[in-house]
Amino acid sequence: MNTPTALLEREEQLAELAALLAAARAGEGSVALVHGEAGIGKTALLRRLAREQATGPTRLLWGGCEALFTPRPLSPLQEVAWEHGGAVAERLREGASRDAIFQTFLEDLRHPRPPALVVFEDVHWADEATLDLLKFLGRRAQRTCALLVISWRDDEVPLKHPLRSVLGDLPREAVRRFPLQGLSPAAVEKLAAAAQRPAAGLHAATAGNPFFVTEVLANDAPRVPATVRDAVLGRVSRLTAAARELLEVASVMPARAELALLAAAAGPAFGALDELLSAGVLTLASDAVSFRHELARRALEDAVAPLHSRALHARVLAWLRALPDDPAQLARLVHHAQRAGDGPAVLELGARAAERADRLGAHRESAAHLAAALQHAAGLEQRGRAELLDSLCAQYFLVDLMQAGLKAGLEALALWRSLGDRLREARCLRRLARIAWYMASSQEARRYGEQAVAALEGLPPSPELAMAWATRAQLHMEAEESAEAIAWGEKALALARAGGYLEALAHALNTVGCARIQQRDPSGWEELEESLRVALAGGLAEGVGRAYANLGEFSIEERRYEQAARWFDEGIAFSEERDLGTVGVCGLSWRAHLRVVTGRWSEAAEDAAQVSGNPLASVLTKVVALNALGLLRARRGDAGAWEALDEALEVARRAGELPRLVPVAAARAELAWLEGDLARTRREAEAVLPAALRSGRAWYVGELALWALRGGASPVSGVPIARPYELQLKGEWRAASAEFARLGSPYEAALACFEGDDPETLKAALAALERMDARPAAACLRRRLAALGARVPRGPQAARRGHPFDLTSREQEVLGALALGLSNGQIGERLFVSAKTIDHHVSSILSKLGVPSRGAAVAAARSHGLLAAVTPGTQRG
Amino acid sequence: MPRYMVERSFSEGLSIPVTEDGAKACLGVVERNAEVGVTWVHSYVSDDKHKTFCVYDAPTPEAVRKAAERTGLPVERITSVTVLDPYFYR
Repeated sequence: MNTPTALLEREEQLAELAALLAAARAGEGSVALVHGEAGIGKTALLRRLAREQATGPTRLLWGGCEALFTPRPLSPLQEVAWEHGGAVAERLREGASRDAIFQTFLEDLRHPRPPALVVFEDVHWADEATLDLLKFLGRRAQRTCALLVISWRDDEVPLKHPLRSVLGDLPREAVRRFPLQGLSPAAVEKLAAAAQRPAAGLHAATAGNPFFVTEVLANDAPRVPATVRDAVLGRVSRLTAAARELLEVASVMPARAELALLAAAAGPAFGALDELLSAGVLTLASDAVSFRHELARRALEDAVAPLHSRALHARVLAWLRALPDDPAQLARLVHHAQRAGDGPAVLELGARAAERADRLGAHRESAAHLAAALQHAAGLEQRGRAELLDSLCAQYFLVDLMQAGLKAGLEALALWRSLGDRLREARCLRRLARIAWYMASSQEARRYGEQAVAALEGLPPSPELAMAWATRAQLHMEAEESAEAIAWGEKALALARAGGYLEALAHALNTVGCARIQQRDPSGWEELEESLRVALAGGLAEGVGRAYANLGEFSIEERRYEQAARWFDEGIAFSEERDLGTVGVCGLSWRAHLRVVTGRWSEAAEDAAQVSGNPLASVLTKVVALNALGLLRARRGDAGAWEALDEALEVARRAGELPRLVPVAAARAELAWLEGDLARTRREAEAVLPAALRSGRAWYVGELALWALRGGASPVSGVPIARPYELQLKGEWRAASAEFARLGSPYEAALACFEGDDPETLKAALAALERMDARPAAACLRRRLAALGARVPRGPQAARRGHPFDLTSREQEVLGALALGLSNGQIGERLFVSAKTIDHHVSSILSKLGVPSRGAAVAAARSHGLLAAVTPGTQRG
Repeated sequence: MPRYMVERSFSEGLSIPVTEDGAKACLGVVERNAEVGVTWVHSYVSDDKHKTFCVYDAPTPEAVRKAAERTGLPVERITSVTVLDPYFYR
């Protein structure tokens, strides 16, 4: 069909998208998510938007993703660049780094000359680099002059699809969702009437899917066909033989077929192209054709006989390989080589495609290409195979697929050993050690680390040797063996300094710093910070990430909360800029913990949810977030606290390291105590206390010893104990409470007062807990007050009444209406003024109450008892 | 999806008139809940209107809290619950 199909029941979405585009023109960009099942009309909607809006002053940048076995890195951006040229195209051509490409594109979109409508279609097929690009743009969309529209098929995005984590990461305020539903029965009837066909049963058979409906209506058969596939094939069967043959050829080319390629692959049948174009099956744009409906292409592709399909793919492959070498086409070449069953071609092209994907940061795709190449590597010599397996192991490690990485790494290891290449053997062992550590099997990790050092014995000094020593040091440090860690670390440092090996230098500085802090030697902080500087200057992303993580973790351990917050914020920003998944997730997990203990509970919940909702995060990073979540639920009195803490304990035990075990044990002891189970409080704390005592780490000992004491054990003494805990264990609860308050932990400060028996102090602590909404602890304190015979205040809201916030009577009226959930327009109607005036009143209310949102205003009003007096309907005269 | 019993206290009493305003107030809450994936199934209100027991479907207790922040409703306690049907045992 060449005439635009009528677009039914999409007026609202079109109007809203147009409004977003208008805002983008004015410099306030945003992201629109258009999704629904295949055939629901996403493309039709977006084309209409483009036709109506992307004229004159608006640029249209349109790129799609393709259903290749392994997607082409950045394919939508490649497509945009291909059509529009410009700086981005130049960057892609010169093989610039991914960051540079992203940055260039972003700058392009920030320019209001002219504003842009950017459409990325079918991102359920997107490669990892494109997903990273979406995340990168999405986070910055508000400061561009562009509307970024992302479309995908719901039925192609299962729960663990990486797109989910991208969507979860987009800033909520910049994003508008447009879930597309099927047409209503009335709309289907309208379409049927226009086609002069009976509508009976049509809506039921198609669920209102516009593609199904149009296909069925375009079919002359009197009855509704059983499946759309039949509809597609049926429609094709009425074309001429040459057209059918041409369509079959085109169907093996996902997304787009260049005219020259189609002509070469189809031979004489190419003459039938006009027939297909006028039948509306194919559409022509910029010297390439594509199917009007991807569904139709897939139905046809599936119907091609297997042997014939191989032959067609071989023809396409041959034509593409005859072109001048273009790395952007590699993924496409691999796809056709695979389908043509051409093993040697898959092997050669796959390895090259993997390398390119890796450079563009598309590690998932790189791994897929390598895995494909390995399937055809039987004839390859050992070294070649070992190289492929090694790269595969590295890619799996980067994307946090540790189990698969372990398997590939072990295979590579066996090959390096039989080849007698000890440098490569050692490098492989080092990676295996990190993988084992992330999988929480520290024994295995240590074994690999020792083997890596052994492999290099007798060889001349090398960066590899320095790294092997540094890795051993790290494994000792993680097992709290700080003396050994420092010994190995200093060996590595000396070698790294002498040879100028930056990676090993940053790595060893970090480890030695941590080990010294473990030994309560503050000079470790300087080494840690130096390691950060070295890594930043050398552009060593992994080193930077590790430095931020350790700086933050130790700051938390020593209760230097402000400093910890600064390190985590910096680390998270760094990882967001470069899309370093592991670093970011690790930072978010610890920041969740930090926010729980410093009383910023809603924000803690946000951080923790981001981590636990990320299907790709590794076990070891997740345990910190899980523990934070468990502690948060315990302190708020919410369901699910034990569940989270049980899971956290299981992983922490497997890893067997104090930095994970101590916080989990403390949280469990606290939850048992809040539930009034003192025996369990003691049991949970004493499960880890001996290990903490052995380590001699004063903060770990203090925290667990205090919980054991609250559970009825006798106080620990004669060992170094961090100050507030030491005070508390000696019964000096007032000083302990003051110290906790000074450190920025209001909750612990309030709990410290429990030991006292002065009703006034206890009441002050109760008020503090109630301000934090720490209901279980508040309830414990109320019981204690009652036991002391003190008069207990009735409840958190009992206090004041009146208008302490100085609201005008109009503002009180508006506040009452807000409580009913009315919009500004509705309130305006009721008070006979414009919505804009109401807007002013609302802003004024928010600033007088000092709250960020309407919801918070209502909550504040309610908790100060302002609301009943002003709610319309209950208003007194 | 897990089910939760959410207890709320209203020191000034809860008043949702059975009028168009009341309906709007309820629908407003439902809408803002939906934005964070939370469903308000129904509630029981104490006779003095100072306490409500609300049945919610939500992915996590944090989602219930977040919805409450948006709607400005107080939260006292969130308990994970399942249905017990006394007549099931006949």
